Amino acid sequence: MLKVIGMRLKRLILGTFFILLLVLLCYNYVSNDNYRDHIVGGLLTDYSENQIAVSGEVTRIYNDGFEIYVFSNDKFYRIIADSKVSLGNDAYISGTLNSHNEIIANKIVITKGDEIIFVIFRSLFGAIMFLLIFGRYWKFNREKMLFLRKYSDFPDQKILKNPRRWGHQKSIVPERLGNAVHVKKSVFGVAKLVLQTSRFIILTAFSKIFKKILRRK
Amino acid sequence: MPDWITHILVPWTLITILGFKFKQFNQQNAAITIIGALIPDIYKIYIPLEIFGIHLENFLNPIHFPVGSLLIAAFLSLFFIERRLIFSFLTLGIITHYALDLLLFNGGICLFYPFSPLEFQVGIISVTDYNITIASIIAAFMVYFIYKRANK
Repeated sequence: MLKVIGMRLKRLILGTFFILLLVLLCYNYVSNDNYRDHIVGGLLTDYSENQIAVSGEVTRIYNDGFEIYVFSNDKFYRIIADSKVSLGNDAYISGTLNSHNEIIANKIVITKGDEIIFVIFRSLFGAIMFLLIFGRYWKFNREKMLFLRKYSDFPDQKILKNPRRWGHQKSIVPERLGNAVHVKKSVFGVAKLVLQTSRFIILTAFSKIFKKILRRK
Repeated sequence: MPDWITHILVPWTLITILGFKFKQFNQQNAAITIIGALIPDIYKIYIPLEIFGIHLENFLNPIHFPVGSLLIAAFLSLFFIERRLIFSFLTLGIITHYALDLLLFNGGICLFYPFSPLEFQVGIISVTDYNITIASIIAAFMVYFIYKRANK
């Protein structure tokens, strides 16, 4: 019992530590302007110093280009390019940054609102798919605050027949944190052992008594 | 980002293929890898929050960087018994996510945050491109039928 409480406390401390670290990272990102200039590092090609990649909403259209508003660094960029855009389109641009927030674009991708909605719709479908897959193989134990593998009601009968072949070893679950199935099994095991022992004792006693009675007769 | 269908099917396909050879790569652990593949997109929670006037896009951005995603994976692995194993599969999922996101043309990812502000991208496909989704669905179906046939 003490071990289980200790484990929970350890998990709580570790969890708090990870979340605090993440909050610190997020705070560092927001407070440091360097990270919001969107400087591109070349992955396949060499990169020049002023090469940036930004995405934002088209706010103005000029003869030789257009203007976008980038929310992440709260800046307006003037893009010099031949692309046809409409107000309100989302534009992804990579290019060379000149003075006065002017970008000579190398590559531009324009996305419309309905295309983004289609992506979100597909992602929602994906989310449902994920929930179905996860729910099929894992269950959450509220008491222990742990996700446990579904052993007892696993859908694939082959795995039930031969769990070791499929990597489902019962020994993976430690006894001290064992799930309800294990506890149930051990309780039934002890009860069965007690019953069998008592039956053996009673039968032996009865047989001895009967033998004595028969000898007397 | 490619849509979540791609982010789910690519790790599932990968794990199922590896499962033919290694028993640890089973369907239960595939579900964990899928969680890992979705971890970096937790930062998208800013979209519904914006409806309520809460702007957290910049603040939550580090979740979509490897260091932030790994911290969340470490946090999530605390909710499982086999922490190291689960963390490994979550990390595998995170790797597949960034491998897919690097193909995009959407502004890049700070792979080495907080050590470098440089953003990386290959820029082959656009965010709304569904060809990669179709390719991943076809690949997943093929692997599924092979998997079913092998388990008969």
